[in-house]
Amino acid sequence: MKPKVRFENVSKNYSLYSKRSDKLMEMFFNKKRNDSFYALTDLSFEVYEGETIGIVGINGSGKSTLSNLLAQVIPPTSGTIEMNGDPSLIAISAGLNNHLSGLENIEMKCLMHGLSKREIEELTPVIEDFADIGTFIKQPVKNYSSGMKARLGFAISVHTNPDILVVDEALSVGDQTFYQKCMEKINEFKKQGKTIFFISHSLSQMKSISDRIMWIHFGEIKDFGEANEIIGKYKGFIDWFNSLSKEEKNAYKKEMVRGQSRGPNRHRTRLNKKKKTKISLFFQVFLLSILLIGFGSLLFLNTYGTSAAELLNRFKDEVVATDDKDFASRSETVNSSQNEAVVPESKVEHVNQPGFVREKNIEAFRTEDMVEVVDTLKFADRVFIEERINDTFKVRLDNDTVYVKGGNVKVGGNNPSTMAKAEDFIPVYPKSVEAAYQYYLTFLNAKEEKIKDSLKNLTNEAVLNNGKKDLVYGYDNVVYHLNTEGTSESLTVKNLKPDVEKYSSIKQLATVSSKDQQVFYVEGASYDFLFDLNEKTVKIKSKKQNTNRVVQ
Amino acid sequence: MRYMFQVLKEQFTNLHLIFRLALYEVKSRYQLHYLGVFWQFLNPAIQVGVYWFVFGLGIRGGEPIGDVPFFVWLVAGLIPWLFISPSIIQGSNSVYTKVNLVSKMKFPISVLPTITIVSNAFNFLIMLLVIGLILFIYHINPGMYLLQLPYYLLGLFAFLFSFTLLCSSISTIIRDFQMVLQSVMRMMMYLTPILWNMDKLPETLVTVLKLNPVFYLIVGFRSTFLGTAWFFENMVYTGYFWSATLFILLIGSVIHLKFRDKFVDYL
Repeated sequence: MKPKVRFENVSKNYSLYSKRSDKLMEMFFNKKRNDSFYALTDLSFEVYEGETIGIVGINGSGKSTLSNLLAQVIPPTSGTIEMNGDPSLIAISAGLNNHLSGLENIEMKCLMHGLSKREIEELTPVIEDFADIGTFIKQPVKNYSSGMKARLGFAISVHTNPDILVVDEALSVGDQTFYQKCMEKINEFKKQGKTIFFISHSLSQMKSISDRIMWIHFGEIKDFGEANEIIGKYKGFIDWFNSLSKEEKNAYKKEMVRGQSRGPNRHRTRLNKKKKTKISLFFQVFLLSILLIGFGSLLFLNTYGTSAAELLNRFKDEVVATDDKDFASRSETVNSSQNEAVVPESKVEHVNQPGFVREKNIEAFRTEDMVEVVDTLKFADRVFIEERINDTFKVRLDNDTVYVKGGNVKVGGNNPSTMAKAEDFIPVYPKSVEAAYQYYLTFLNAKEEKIKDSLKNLTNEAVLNNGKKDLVYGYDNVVYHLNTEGTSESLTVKNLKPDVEKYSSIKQLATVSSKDQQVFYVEGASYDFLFDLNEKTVKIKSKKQNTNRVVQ
Repeated sequence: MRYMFQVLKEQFTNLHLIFRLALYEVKSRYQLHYLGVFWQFLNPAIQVGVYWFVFGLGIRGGEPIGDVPFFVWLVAGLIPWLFISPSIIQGSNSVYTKVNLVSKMKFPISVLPTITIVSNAFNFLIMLLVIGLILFIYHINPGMYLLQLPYYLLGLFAFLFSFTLLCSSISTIIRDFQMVLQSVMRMMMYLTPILWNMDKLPETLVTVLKLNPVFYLIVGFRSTFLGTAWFFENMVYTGYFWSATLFILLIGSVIHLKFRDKFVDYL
């Protein structure tokens, strides 16, 4: 017979920490500076197929630690455990979810054991019947009595087809009828050649089930052999121990526990084997961190990255240009074929409508391929759009034809019925202008001297580069813009009211507004208004003076 | 690499188990509630509603972002986040809460975080359909850009798996980590462009925030739904995201495999 379970020099020790942080220290520095307690010391034994092994021992002798080791719940500190088969541990309420009902626990445990849906459906009534919980099967497990829990746990574990069954005190809570049922099941297992470990304090139970009995005594195997023989010895020990006086009992226990605390000091000698994998692991981590840092720093250089891409594009253009020179004779065919390649279906749509520029400064290009810049258009400049070629607009401008990007221009003029008047904007004018806005407007198209005579409190007079002049009335929040002839061309009202909601109705009057809605242009009946909400200003121009760029 | 492959292999061989348990988890999660699975939609709906009210109507004054109404902009980023955030927090806690249950049987612990992710993903996939409905109502057509949705889903799952694998190991050993993670996730919500547009921030600051891989995912999902950009348009950032994910996966699988036998000891 081949051994089903083989323990070789297995020890399990628990480090006793005085502080929680000591646990971390040990983990990272792998230093044993704490006291350790040897729950099991140097266990070696073999168990064969179809055997039932009883495990006895007084409290604190390490029975539960052994059962956990057998079920592979916890790893041994040193030594090797060989197992041929899947172990299953049955302890009181082992692995039941308290919030789920009994039925759901059955389903979940079976799922975790990897059973198929059909198998679970078949097993559920069998388990239900075996556990014999009755209507409580639909109640959450937290409401169960300890007997119910043990029965359910046992029923599930037994039916999930384990090779090695570890029963830890689970039967002691059941009554005689349940015990009888378990015995039948256990005997069935024995016939199937399965191995059972049975831990109990009940020597009579032990005697009837076990083939061999292992006596664990303070972390060591005191004896391991035929059931009746060991039970006899164990009984003898118990009787001897009970006959001791209280002081003697304590002294005996203390002595034994001290032996466990010292324990043999074995060091694992697996370091050499691990070194090689450690180096390759270190290399992988190193490589990936280099990659990570590389990409991370590239991210920061991304602004340069895009300019590099632009540079590349320019380079490409130059190459194309030189190519054109080189193959002057074929240039036309090359160009046309390239255009086709870039713009697969160039749709030309005749627009023939006025439009407005909707970005602050946009570039106007000489040709359709957008290389040579001829002019810069300002926000709300009026243009006349002739054609739309994909995303490009062909635009007439001062008897000149230029091309601009489609997104920068809005097609269509204003609706004359909504033509705004200066009083429409009273709600947003600053206090100083609110009441007297008409008075300030009368100084549009007026001479410099007239303005200075009529309006006091001139705070600043700025001469601009192009010979134009600004008259700043700081207290009134008004600035007049004079042209080179000294006539006021437009006026800017500053410090508009900041209340956002007031602008929403104004925005509806806008002939054109920028993409972020912060700059918009209102074409009025007799004045034009250019609002800039970032600066909180409005620039008012008289209609007559409007330097219209449209030639129609 | 060996470690990574081992963990990944465990996922694929147990794919069936993962889906069954994830479905089971969804069923049992809302089992004690009267409204049941309906909470899966009520919860995100309430959150979207509140954030839209505070950030959209309150702070932005109902203004759209560019051409896109704020509500649509918010939903496109918030829905992925409502999947990412609980997946990370619950996924990191998954090993700690379940190791007791599974250690008593032969069960691959590395699938525990995956089960949490998948169980949250059911809800997420349905919420994606809701986004589609919202886009339809607002007449926004992402067009061809929708094709990159599988790519971002792949990225999302790869990142979530790697990150929860790492965090679940750490937070089982060091319980304080879970607390740290919860605060970090709460912070992350405001440090990614979920609720507010970062256009006004200086470029360098945005780049610092971009180092967070979640940033990549949120922006990616949004550009997919609104049809604004392809993932290969910014190869540097894409490269950064994937190398970060791989790095986390490597560290995560090494730590996981090193400690998984001892998880029970750390409880």
